[in-house]
Amino acid sequence: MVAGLSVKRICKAFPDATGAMGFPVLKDISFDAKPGEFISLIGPSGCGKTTLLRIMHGLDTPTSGTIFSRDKKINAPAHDRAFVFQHFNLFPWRTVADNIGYGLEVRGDDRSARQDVVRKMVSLVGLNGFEKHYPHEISGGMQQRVGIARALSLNPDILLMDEPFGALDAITRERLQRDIADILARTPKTTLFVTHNMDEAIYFSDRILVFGTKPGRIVEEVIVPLQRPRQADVIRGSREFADLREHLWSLLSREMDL
Amino acid sequence: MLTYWRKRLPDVTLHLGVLLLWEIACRTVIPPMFLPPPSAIVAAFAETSRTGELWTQLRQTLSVLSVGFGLAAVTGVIVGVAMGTSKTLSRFLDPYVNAMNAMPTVALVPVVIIWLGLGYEAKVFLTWLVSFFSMVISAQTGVQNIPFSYLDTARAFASNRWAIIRMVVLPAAIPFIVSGIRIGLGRALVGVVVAEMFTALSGLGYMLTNYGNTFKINFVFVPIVTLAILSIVLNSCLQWAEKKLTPWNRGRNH
Repeated sequence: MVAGLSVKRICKAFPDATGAMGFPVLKDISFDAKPGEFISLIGPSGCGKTTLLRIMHGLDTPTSGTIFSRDKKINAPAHDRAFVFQHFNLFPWRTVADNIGYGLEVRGDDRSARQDVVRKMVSLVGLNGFEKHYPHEISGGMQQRVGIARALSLNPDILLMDEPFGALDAITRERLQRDIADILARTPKTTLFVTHNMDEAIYFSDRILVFGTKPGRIVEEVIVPLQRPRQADVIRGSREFADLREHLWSLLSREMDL
Repeated sequence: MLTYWRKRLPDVTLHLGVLLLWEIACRTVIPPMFLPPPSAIVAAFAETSRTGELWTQLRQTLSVLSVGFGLAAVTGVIVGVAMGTSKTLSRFLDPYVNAMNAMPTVALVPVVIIWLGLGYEAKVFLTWLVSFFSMVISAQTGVQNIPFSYLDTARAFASNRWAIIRMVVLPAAIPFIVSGIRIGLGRALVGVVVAEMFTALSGLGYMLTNYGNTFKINFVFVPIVTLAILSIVLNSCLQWAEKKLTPWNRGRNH
């Protein structure tokens, strides 16, 4: 069973120009992610959802509060969690295969084991034939496939994705969404997913945490009762989908200065 | 191949024209003591390579250059990367490195002679001294300017400090490091010649001084032209090495 995650009373403030703690970016965030659960964090820009995701991975430190996984406090990145960046963050000097294998190499897996995993990951994300290409030689969608394969190669318990489709065009986004949904259905992970796309949040999630801004806080927890497996085109036409979307929209528009 | 030469033909013609004008000017208005015609320089080349003098002296210069510059490149990159990765180290060493880099290091020739005498070691040390600091600064700058996202990504995959240096910092800084090495090479060439002229005379520096003192101006141009060619050849080698080292950079900067 994969590990869950427990977020307890997280606050985050950045020091202002005088060095004093400024206005809080995140105020008193608490929730639990059950093992295998898919949770989306949705909210307007500046609500601190990316900061929270980074804190959950140990990339940033909270001002107060703690995060636990398997009863252990998280304070630095580790290989049982993996992070997918909005802007892919591939290393331009590494080929597709070497980028995918980066985490494995850091973890100290030996070469032949690495090659096996990388080969599997390459076909999992559909990049066969591009192993020796450099990032600048492939499209944005393919680059994010590499970013996702790099994260999945570690076979992490917890997957943290920061707007992974945010930098992609609509068609690429849609194709990649379906592929990722397929992959996650086959190898379940506890997934935390930052987005500000409502359709995407509904399509993927078991639960959606809607964030408000100033200070960043959870305004409502929305359960997504849609059956799995979900087919994007089928659920989008359904009554429940429309209701959920309507509800999310009313919550979000209240939080945005419209 | 044929089209290559056809494309270059106008350029080649132009440069041959310049040489021709130079030759004519020297035979008509410019006194030969002032500037020798190309034909006289070619003759001096033929003479010095026939007697073997050119090759002997070139070998000496290359020996000093390769040892002094080679050591400077290796030590400069190591110190520069160390300074780039350690704030404490760079805070402590920055003033010294910047001062040494800003100072015309040839001013230290008398000091080096007092320390090491007039021999081979003094020349190697001077070459090292003249080129070392610019390579330290380039490597340091390269490391300090690595985009945050690379380091962030490395950290996100729980890379330890050594893995970050080896797998992220060094490859990311390579373009800076190589351009620093190229600047260093230019300085090292100056260093060698200065060393050869101001310590025990040797190499191409010896040819410059010796033929200058005896007013054989066409012979003075032999080491001058040789140094120019040497500089161009070594620079092209470094450019080639840079391309080989950074295949991922192709189509980005070039």
